[in-house]
Amino acid sequence: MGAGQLVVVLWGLWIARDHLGAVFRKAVFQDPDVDDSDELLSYRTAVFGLVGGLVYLAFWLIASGLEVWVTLLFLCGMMIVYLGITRIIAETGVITIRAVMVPQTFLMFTFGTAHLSNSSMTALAMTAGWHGDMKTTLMPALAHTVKLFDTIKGQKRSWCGRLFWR
Amino acid sequence: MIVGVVSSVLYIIVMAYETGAGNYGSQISGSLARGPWDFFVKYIRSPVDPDWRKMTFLGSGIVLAAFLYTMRYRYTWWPFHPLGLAAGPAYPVTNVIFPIFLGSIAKFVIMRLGGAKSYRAARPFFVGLIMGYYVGAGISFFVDWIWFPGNGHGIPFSD
Repeated sequence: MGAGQLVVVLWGLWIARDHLGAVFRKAVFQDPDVDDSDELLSYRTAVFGLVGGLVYLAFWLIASGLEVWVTLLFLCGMMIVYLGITRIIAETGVITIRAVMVPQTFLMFTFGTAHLSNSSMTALAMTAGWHGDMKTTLMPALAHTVKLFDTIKGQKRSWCGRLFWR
Repeated sequence: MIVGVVSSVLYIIVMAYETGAGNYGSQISGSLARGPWDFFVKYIRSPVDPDWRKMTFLGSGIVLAAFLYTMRYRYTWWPFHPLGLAAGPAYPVTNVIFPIFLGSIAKFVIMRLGGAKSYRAARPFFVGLIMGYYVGAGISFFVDWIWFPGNGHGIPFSD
């Protein structure tokens, strides 16, 4: 995660707070003042997809032995890593970037492994397979894709499925 | 993408059964695969308390990054971008920091001497440098394939 990447993400979320609030209002309350017709996904699909994915991950991590409070902090750290990597790649132009710190080590050395159960430590070890050496992830590629989609006129959502076939 | 994911996963499983997953080497079944487990086992056997030194270092970095963001947003003349702090210590920037430095110097000189018009005119040259790297790497792939089958050469920054 790293201090720099952490601040990049938190600062970005703060700057985007009005937009994120509008997205939430459209997704949950169907606010007619918010227009998402020009987006690749409807805000409702994006928000509930994100929430559904995180809930699924949380249940999966808890079932694998991670304590609930560790799970919540791990998921926060995971999102910071994904968003931080994506933001840096999108803004600097580097082809890839490695996360300086990952949530596992952040949790281990912030709270001390003496305060994490063996079950949590084992479950954290298993997460290293999919969230360990964070270097090449899907989110930056999709961020670039969304940028390219900005050049397309008209109805874009019919193109969305093709992202997964090309 | 779906075809790629499914075929890759199936191919790895089939290969593991046919040749033995233990023969994959460091990336999948060697030291890199064992590393995280060894790391966690070490700290399960010898638990540690919160590391205040690391936390202080993290906190200092947060303050510095926030300072850089504040300066960048408040003062247009501020030259240091906070993304430099975030990306600087991370691979592959650590390996290509000198070329990035050269690129920045080249951009600075071109902008000062010729302005935006020269900058736009010079862009194809620099894009050509990047494309030249990829073409060279692509040719080396075929050279390895033809003349060094099964014993190729590493391509810098290819991972």
